[in-house]
Amino acid sequence: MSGIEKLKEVTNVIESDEERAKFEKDFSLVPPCKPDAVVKPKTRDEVAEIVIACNDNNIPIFPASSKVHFNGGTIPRPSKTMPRPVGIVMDLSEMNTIERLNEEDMWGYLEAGVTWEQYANALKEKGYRTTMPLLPHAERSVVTDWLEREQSTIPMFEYSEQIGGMWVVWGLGEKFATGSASSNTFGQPGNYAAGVNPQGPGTIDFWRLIQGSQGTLGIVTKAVVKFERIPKIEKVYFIPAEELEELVDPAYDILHRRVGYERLIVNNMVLATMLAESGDQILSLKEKLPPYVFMMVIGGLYRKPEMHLGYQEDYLKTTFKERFPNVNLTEKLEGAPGLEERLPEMLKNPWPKDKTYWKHMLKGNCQDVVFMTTLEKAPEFCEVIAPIVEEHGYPLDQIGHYIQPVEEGRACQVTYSFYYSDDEKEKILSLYRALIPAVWKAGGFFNRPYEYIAQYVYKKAPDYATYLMRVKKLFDPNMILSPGKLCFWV
Amino acid sequence: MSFKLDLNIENYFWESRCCMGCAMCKYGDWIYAPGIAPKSKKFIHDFTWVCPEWQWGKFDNWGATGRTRLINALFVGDLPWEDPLVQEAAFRCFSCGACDVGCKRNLDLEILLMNQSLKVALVERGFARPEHKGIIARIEKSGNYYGMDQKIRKDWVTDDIKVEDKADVLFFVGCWASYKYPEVAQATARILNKAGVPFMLLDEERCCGSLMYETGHLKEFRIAARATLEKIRQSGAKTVVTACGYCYKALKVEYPKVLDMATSDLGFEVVHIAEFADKLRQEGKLSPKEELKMKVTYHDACSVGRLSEPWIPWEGIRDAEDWGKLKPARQFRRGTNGCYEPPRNLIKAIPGVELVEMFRHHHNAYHSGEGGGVLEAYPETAHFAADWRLREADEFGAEAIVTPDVHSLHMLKGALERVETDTVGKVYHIAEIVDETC
Amino acid sequence: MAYKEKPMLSTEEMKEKLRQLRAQPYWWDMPEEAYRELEAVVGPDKISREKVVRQAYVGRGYARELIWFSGQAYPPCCVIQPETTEEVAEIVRICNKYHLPFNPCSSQWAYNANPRFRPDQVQIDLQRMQDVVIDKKNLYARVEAGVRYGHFCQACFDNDCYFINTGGGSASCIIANHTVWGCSPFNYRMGNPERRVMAVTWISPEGDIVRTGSWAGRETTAEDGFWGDGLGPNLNGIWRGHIGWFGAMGIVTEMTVKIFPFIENAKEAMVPEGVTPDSHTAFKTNRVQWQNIKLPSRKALEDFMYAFSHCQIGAAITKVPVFWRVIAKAKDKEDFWERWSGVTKDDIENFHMARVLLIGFTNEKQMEYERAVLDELRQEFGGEFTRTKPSDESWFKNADTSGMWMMTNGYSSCEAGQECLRCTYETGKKLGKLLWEKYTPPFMAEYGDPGWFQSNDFGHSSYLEFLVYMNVDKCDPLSPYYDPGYVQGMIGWYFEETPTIDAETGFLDFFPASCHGIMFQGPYFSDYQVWVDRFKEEFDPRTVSNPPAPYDPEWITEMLPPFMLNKSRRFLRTIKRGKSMLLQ
Repeated sequence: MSGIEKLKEVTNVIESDEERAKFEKDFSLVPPCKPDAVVKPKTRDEVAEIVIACNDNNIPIFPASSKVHFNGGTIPRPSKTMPRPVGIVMDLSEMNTIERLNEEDMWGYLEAGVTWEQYANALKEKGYRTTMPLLPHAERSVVTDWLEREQSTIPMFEYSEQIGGMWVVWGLGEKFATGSASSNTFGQPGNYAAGVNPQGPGTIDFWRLIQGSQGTLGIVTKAVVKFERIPKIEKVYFIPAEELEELVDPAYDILHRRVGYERLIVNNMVLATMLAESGDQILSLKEKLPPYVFMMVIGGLYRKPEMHLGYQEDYLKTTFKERFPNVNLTEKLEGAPGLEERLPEMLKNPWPKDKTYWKHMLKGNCQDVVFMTTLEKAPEFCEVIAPIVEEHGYPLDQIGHYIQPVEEGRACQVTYSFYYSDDEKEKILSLYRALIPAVWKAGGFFNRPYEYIAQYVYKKAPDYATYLMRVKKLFDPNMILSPGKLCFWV
Repeated sequence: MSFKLDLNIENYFWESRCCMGCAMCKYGDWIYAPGIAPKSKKFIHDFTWVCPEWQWGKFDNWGATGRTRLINALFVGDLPWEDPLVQEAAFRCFSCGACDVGCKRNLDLEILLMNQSLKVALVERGFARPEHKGIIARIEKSGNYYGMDQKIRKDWVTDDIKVEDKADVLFFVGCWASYKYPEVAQATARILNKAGVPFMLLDEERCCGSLMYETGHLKEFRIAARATLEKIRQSGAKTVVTACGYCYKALKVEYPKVLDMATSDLGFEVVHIAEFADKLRQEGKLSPKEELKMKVTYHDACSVGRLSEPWIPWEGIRDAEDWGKLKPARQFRRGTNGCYEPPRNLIKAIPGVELVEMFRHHHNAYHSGEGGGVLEAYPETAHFAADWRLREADEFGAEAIVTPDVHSLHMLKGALERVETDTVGKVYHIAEIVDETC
Repeated sequence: MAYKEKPMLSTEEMKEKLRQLRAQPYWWDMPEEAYRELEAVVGPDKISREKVVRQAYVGRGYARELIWFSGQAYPPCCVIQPETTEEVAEIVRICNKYHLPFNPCSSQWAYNANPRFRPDQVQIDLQRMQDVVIDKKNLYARVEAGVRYGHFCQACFDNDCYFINTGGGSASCIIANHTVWGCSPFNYRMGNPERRVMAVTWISPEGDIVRTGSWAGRETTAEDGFWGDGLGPNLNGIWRGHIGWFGAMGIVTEMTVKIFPFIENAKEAMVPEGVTPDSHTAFKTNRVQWQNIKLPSRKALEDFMYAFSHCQIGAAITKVPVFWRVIAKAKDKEDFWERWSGVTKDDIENFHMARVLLIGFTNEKQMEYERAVLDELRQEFGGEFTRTKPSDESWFKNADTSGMWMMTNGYSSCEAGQECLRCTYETGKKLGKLLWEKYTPPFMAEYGDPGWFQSNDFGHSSYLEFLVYMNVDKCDPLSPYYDPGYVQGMIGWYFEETPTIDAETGFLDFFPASCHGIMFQGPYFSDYQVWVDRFKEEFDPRTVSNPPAPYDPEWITEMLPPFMLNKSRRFLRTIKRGKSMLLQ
């Protein structure tokens, strides 16, 4: 009996071509590979049983929680050396219950399959919001996106990111709960724990090990995720600029003085893709927009909102203006009429499900190069990538570029977006692979090392890779979970 | 247990058990913790220490925390008294009190007395430093620190200085000002003259004996103390003024301590020339007229600052059944009421002078290197401290350091010859700068 | 009990007591060859095996009342003071080569920083590593292992930033504290300690140099330490979880930490003033203010803390034990007791005070806004502003440090951790009640005070710490007033009852992971000891990184003297070490 057959003893195994094809490829440039089967567990217990069975039968597992994928995370990587099946995809998207919204401590208890759309709507009903990345796909998993280190558009919160405790199944099938969710009587009468402390338990930080692990150490089935209050009043300000450099110091000042909720810098290409009704409008809209714009939403929370808004505006109109007299701080953005009204709501919601994803509107596909750096260094990367982009025949003025400051300007996440049609895949892949070393050498930090990035960076950091492998062997000694990802080549 | 607050090491078992290593004996009052050095524009760890012995030695046995463990080990027999490093750790201590004052910011341990008692205990057991024994023998024989002729002790008195045969105010000059730094004695005397304060000198002033105390020679110190005390009382002086920090501390604090009395029982008031001159200034009897365009900093000598609070004897119990409370309650000497402001007032009153504070000042001041007999036994450690104090002044752009103590003056002048500075070019005694400008 | 004069024990009597307590010879001579190899790394001036030097490193820091006094503390076999990461790594490799346990220390504020149970440890004293470089623009700083909070906080002010100053306190070293603890009311805006840690140079227990965060794969740590995530998984998770390993998982020699925007010209706004013991940091109160608010009931206080936090105002909100307020006013221990003796249980039950910190980060108008919101909250919850000094003696620079020992010279925190406010409220109440009803004496009367708690992350979580005070003489076998029954009376509190409360309320306490309760806590908080064991076996195969930290129950039951653990020794043996929930 094959391993897959034995797996049927513990769960429903879907072997149809149609289902398998859903995970064969995604919007990334990772080579396609069809899994042997797909399983769709409904509970953590079921997940654990599947993992045990896969260990027993040497079947790799590639977990998936979202309904759409951009980084190749769920595409199997067949082993070149180990005689084993390609593997199965464990699709957790149907584990999508929002178990509870804890309004006292402001945390949601989300199964792994809960999407942005689900979470945002559930919170909106109660007058709350979740912080989120820039216009995430409605069907992306909230938990997965935070585990994959998406950055929030609100850099005001210094605190420990969005996730608290998690419920997880390790590589041998051991069930575990991290942080303060680990209390064995969690949720029972007399137990007041809310699972809000992400650390530990004990001397190991399981959360820091799991985050960024791309499903290679454990499978998260549920997590505790923060939410926030919605400001009662909001106002938008823009600073348009010809060059990115012009925005750096003003951005630092605004961030350091803790003014605003959402704050980010976008170039005209990104803004055009955000605002256009259809793909054919993007390039013409782009021409009407300033090359770069710093956008911020300032807000007044529910107590004394006018005063809350007021002191921030006072700063912008006095101190900031004195410091940056030549900066054009404006309440409306030329080329984007009405954006000042729409932006706050846009940024509180994922991209609408019924519309083509904004990054795909131009040409159907998009490859992002994402890394961390400091605000002051961000402009340098434009010069670093320009010759490589030109060399690969990609038009410089069609690069999407946005910068999300993090934690009041401590660092920023830079995203370069390269839009392409299906017949341009090879070209873009070549460009992407050329950009990775250039960004690294210029000091960019890849905290999200997908496929081609992983292939490069772990050779640059062999000591780090060695210790990652040692950690991997503790959690997944049989290399069942997502083999081939990160530095876990088999 | 019942005990006296004295220099018997056995009374400090509690201290040796109750230190928990918070490092305020190493770095002083955290409120004043230094950050970025103004000239160098970076964090310089060297400026954070308040214990120069520890800074010099780096290992923890050189500081008060290590000393509590050391003393504990001696009590329980884990270490022998004979260990040369026991002696070295004890006698490299400047007895500057930075550890004591640091500790007492938040707690009630008598760290300085514990340190000092260790020295006494070592001396009693025959482990005194030979350098100290030599100088003490010299003092006993000649009556002064330098072993010079007592007959020339008053040679510093120049013709322009008026000394009375009898007066309410007695100027106790001290050996260092008498023999090595007569300009300090002269400046002090001139201040008194200018303010119209008649003063007298002792007929035969002998060394106050402070080195004996500092180095644990309690028996010899008691003899010196009794003798000098008697002479002062016989003189009929109501106020004793001194320009030497160690004489000041000896007369005001250590004499009563070892003679089992309170400072208030001395029968006279002991004041430093800085205190006295500031009072005269406030009364309008002394006014600075000469301009001195200079950036100066003030060095709070420990003898005049944190260690100069009056001595209050105490005897009682530590009630172990009642949380270790002292009964009766003790008045702790925490360095709060040292002579900090009078010298600053004097400096600030001088036209043209700009006073800058260093990182470590007031109760938190760093030691200048002479104290505890360290210069005599371990000169490299003493010079190390002086050099770092000078560097600190230079970091703040001071052109001169002003100090209230002759010993500090000596150490800082020595440092000026060793250390390359950008701005500091002069060291003043407070009496000198006041005399120069009034 | 009435005072009875008892003479101090003689040296011979003390020697005999210690002989009974100590399981090992006190001094141990290390192999000459090993010493020479270590000396070659740092030079002869930075290593010593002199007994006087080694003795200075005995039983320091926290919990000395329980560790040093019970004979658990030993001197190291030598003390070595490296100055660079490479030196530290080489020292660790030599220790591995000779199977010599090593113990890294910097501030020595934590009880595991000095040798416990064994005299053969190499004490790696990191106090010479003092580099600080601040990047004001990008809000982070690089610090080395010896840098302490008090100095670093001032350096941050000098750069218009601020940083936490951990409770108990300024003496701690930033790295050491962030590897194990790192909580302060400032966590309210600054977040959990492990998230303040960014790039790190970690020396593994085997002596490998591993760089994490944005230092991974870089040639130098001189710059580029601006970010703390991993290249994929974050390996910082190995050496610190909810709590750290206390030196049992290698050594961190340098790290970049987040610093936080404060107010402009912070140095001029935060001025040290005054003379001891009244020194304080004086504020420019139009931009920085503490404010005490008295609330009419326990419920009002609890609700107020939530409401305040949800407004996202302030820089801290905390409720301190009443005895801290009395310490702050008292001039010495005796004065404290005179004030404290007049306190009753009713006083404590009816005293509900929150202390909030407001900072006008943006401008003075922000202060006005926040005060207005605070006043609205005050009215809503029936509170009353009380007189508050316009200065700080604690959280910004001084942070209590040894002052916590003022009352009895014997103190320990028996409970510390992070969960939601509700959990900390309920856990604190239970602890206060248990202490008052069953454990007063042996501990000092706190009249049911529910401990120190504060809001973190704008109310998303919180921190609780519970402090108890004991009679030092009665704990000390070398004191003529020593009472073994007194110590026995505390064992149940530490080893059985408080961990049981944690299990009931779900409160995730630091201590079970590090010492006494781990063997009891395992079954109540997943089976994380399984992972502790696995990680320890994997990364420290020779068990040279500060054994027996974080815990080793078999060793502890053998090493601790009979009087210490008679009852709990039986209990220990009946408890199974946590097994995987799946594999049982």
